[in-house]
Amino acid sequence: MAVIDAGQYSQEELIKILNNVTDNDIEINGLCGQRYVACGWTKPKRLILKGLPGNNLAAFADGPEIIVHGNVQEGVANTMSSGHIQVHGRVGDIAGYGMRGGELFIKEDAGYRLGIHMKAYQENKPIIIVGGSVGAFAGEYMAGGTMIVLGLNTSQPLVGPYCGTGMYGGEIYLRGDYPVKNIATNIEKVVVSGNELDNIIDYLHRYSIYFNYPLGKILDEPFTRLCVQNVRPFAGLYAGFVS
Amino acid sequence: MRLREGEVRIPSGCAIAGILNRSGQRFNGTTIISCIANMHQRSNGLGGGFAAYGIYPEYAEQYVLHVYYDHEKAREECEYYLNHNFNIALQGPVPLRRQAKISNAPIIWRYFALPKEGRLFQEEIGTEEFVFRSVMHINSSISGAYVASSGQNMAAFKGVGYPEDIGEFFRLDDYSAYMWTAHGRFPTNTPGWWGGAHPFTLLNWSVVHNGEISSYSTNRRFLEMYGYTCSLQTDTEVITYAVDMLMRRHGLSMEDTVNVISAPLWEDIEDEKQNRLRRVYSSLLLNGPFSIIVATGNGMMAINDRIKLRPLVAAEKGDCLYVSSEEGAIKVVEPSPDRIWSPGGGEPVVGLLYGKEKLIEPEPKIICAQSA
Repeated sequence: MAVIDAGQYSQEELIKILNNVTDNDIEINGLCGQRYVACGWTKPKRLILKGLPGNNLAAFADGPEIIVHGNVQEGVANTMSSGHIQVHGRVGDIAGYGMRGGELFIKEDAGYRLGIHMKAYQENKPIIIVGGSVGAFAGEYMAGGTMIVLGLNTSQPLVGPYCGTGMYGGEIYLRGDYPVKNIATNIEKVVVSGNELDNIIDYLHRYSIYFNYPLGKILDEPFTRLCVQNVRPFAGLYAGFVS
Repeated sequence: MRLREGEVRIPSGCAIAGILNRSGQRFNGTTIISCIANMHQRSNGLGGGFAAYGIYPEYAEQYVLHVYYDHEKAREECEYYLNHNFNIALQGPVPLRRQAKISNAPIIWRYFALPKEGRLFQEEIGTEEFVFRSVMHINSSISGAYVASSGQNMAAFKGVGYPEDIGEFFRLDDYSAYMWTAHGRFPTNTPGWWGGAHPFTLLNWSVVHNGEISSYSTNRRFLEMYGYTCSLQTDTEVITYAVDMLMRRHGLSMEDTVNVISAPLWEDIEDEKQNRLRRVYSSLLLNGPFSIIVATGNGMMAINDRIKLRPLVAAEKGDCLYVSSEEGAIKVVEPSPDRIWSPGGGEPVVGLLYGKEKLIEPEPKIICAQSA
């Protein structure tokens, strides 16, 4: 396993070195805001990050497995195609922007615009699970994939305003109470329990393992599934009729 | 080969940072330089600057004018004006550390001064209003002279270059302040020049800003009616003047000011007061994406546009409040803060010195706006 101390290199040097490492397992210590780590990586490498990776961690990535011991700045998993990311902390704004596949597990809160423009295609189904709360515009223009917000250990409302605005595909699962006025009006809200949770139980289970939180406590509260009411919610928006 | 615009991608986006020690304990400029240097990629070398509060305690009563001159003739003309209007206790060039990375610097002087009593009597206005009008006069009427800062016990140090180099150039390691703000610039719609670097200041106000104010012209036209002349060719200038007008001249509280500049969307406006503020000051709504830090001698307020189109992170450790565009800039100087969070859009993060309740004290004598 290659071990790299990020503090010794400039931003440009670090990225150059990382791209040339042949080892499959890489550990990077002392990160403090260095951006573009694992950006565009297409190999299934395993990365352990300590400290604070900067913007666009694993942007456009296709395959890496990344475990972050700490928080992450903005734009993690931006347009990611496949791979697995675990963040043992909080993430900034626009996490999972336009995500096309892969998994993003976040232990604590996420900032504004989580998973906006997320999409799915055939076997590529992105999934984001957040342990804490999320800021405004979560799932805006969402076209596919799954987002789960648990609201554990947070003092903020579960979701910020304009959740699901312009959403036309995919599902958002909210655990427990949420501010109803923050959910876009055309979104269908269904309380789900028991085997209706089959789609996500595997993710909840893995969240509980990764972050050492009892599954039973996660399942204590009811879940609400948000999805669009029909396939083309905005078909008649401008024309006034559906063609 | 030199690549032209459109052939090269500049992945920048402006950076802001601020540190306040609420107990008033002073620390030197190297800390804030480390913060802003950590976000090097966010600037492109066309602007950097700092505001420092508490750096001139020996002259705390004096207004300190830091003035940039394009040429000696501008200095002569400006000093003639200053000598006519102010009692200057001390004046001289701002100490600089000349270096290769910073070029084309203007002539930079500072003046520790108080308005002449006789002039105040003639003009029938208070001290602050007098200094305000003098700054407007110098910026708009003395060709080649620009006021970088004009407050008490504070100064702005700004110019063209990466912020860490600007900090070095101005020898910020020699100054101690209880509050610092910083800016790394990626100029978007306006030129990168010395007067257009952040922070933008007026009296004790300073503003650093990441974003674009699309409502600049609307805001400027409104402010011009109240004697504010925008002469520095950058959108951020209107933010400084807007907060000065709202809080110093019109006496609005911080909450009300926030409801004006970063007003909630109409559908979210709940009470009658918010509604009236939104109508009366509709021309001071700052439209467009922004994250800003507004500072005065009493403390600072960091705020986003109402839908948070720019990043902003805040953290606390003991007496200190940190705000920044990126978490890394905070962690590089404070690896283990007590609390770290992302404020929501239009949700101010406020830090005040202990014992202070407002960003500014009400002016002893309220002066109505007159035609300037």
